[in-house]
Amino acid sequence: MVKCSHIIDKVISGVLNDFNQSSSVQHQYKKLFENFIKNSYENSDITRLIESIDVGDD
Amino acid sequence: MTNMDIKLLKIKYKNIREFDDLEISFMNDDDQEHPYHISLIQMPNGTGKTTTIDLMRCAISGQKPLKIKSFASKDKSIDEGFFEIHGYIDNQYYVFRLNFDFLNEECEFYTSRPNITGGGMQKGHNLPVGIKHIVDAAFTDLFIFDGELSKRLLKPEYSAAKDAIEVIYHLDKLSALNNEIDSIVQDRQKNKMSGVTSDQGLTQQKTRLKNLKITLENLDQGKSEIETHIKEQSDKLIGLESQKNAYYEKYKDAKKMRDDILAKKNETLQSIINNVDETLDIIRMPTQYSLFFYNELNDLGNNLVKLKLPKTISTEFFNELADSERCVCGELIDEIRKQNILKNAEAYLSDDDIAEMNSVKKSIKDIQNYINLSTHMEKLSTDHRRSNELRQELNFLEISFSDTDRKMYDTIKKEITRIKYKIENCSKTLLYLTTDDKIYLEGLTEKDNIYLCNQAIDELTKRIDEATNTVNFSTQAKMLRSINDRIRNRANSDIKKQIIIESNQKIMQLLGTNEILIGDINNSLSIKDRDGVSQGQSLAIAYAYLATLFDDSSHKIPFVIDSPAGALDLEVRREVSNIIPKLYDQLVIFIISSEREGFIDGIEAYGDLQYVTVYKDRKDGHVCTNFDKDFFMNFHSEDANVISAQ
Repeated sequence: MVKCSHIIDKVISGVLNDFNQSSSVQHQYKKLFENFIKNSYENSDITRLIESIDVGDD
Repeated sequence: MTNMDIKLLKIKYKNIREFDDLEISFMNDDDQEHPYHISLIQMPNGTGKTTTIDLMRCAISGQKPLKIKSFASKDKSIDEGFFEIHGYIDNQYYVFRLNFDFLNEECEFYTSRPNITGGGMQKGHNLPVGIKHIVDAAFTDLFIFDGELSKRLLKPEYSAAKDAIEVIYHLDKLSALNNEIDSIVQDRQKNKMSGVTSDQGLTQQKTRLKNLKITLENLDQGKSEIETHIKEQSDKLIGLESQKNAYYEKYKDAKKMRDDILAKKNETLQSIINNVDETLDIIRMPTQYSLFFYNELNDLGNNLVKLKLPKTISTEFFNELADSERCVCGELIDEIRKQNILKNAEAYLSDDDIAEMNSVKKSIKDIQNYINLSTHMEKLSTDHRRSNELRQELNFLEISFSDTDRKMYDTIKKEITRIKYKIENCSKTLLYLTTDDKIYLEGLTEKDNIYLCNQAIDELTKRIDEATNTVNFSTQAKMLRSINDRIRNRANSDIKKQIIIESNQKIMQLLGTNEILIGDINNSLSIKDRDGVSQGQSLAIAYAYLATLFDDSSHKIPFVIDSPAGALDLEVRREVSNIIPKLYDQLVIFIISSEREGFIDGIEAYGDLQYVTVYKDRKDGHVCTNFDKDFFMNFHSEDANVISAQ
């Protein structure tokens, strides 16, 4: 089973924190990234992640 | 954290170049679950070492080889052959076969998963779904290693070092993910009816909605003003009617006569209304107002009653036909045809036909009697005439008023007429303003009609809601792309720092010096404070770099090396052979006899290894294998019937 390496995992968390994304979005992002690498994803997974992104008040 | 786990178990050749039928196993006879930690495969130049490594690369990555003829058997009469690689992928046994058709220069992949499919070969290169898109040609090049890669890792004109990080850590997939995001956003924008995809477009739509709402407010206000006006005029009308009636109060006789006339007028009006309803009912039934139509239809009904049932008629017709000498088509009717006509006649009738006919007859029988319409028309005409007479009688009554009263009375009447006209006009305007009836709506727009204006507002609100979602979605997608880009950049930077530290530790172990160290990783590896390194040093750096990458990524990948020690001096050979077994769980090393010195000394310390010698038999010219250590150690290229060097 392919998973993100520890270093990537850490980078993803850091960047998503910089963008003020919730832990739920971080979890969703990591899962999608792993599935995307394996090509076992649906477009609806990407759509859901996009819709979950918090763009803030602007 | 365990990622991909690949173990190589054996390779098989059938009619490939000098390999008639050969198998090289990497399995430990004492432990069928695990391959040897190290398989040393000694192949003199010209026995197919490069061919083997190329085929292993193809069989693992699924990339078809380019020059198919170069793998053809030396026996020109053989047109077909195959190469197989067996291994465990995430503990599942896999066989990948590359079938060659040398004659047509074609090749095809087949895959077998004995645990699942019972050993049958399925067409295609069917890696497990989870790693299919990872183990591509670029990834495979990193662990089926040749000296060329070590050169590319260090030369600035190549980006092999940077690409290796991207491939092993899958950072290249972030770029692919961004492409998918773009495509999803474009699809959403295309499928939405609003057609609004930008902030500017959305602002325009919002301005239009604002203007429509102002229009609706104005229309509502207009409606309210008209209604108030109608009410005022209606009240005024009531007052004037009351004034008008007051004059009759002054003239008692005239009033009594007027009341009588008005009563008669109402009676006549009611009669007209009733008569019109009845007349319209009659007009809806043609048989009731057209004597000709009534008579004709009655005749048809009577005739239908007189006629025999269709079945009877048809039976007689068929009986007569069967008895005739000739058919209506002119053909002679013999005995067989006669019997067929009689036998099949029944098929041309059915009870349904009769029932339908009966239904028609019943409907005709039930038609209502003729009513002479002219009687009704005459009555209508009489009533209409009477109504006009009564109106004239009313006018005549007013003549009995005094001059002054009549003048005032006429003024009031004129004013009443004027106000009635105004109310009628206002009512018409109100009707067009408020109607939702299609007949009146024709030619109107949302600027003239409240219903249309509300409809336009509803539709635009829906579009704006949809557009807002689309625009928000695009904004979210844009942010996700920025997140991906930053992750890629930061990961690259963080990984590079980490990899440099860990690779340098390994390089120091391999070369026994801290003078040759990786300073930076741009596209290629930059060596600290040095312009270049020797061929042996570049090999050592490459081993250290790739081992660090795989180690850190947690993939368990075998390492296949071609000529690991050729360019190394004896000291470095010993270091390399001491270190690389520690870096990889499985090593498949292809060497030539001249590389043994120094290299074997170090590697022998690792007990879990096998010695394989692949050579060309002196007698029959076939390529053979020998698994004996002594044979391996004493073998020299000149001992075999060596084919010219590749």
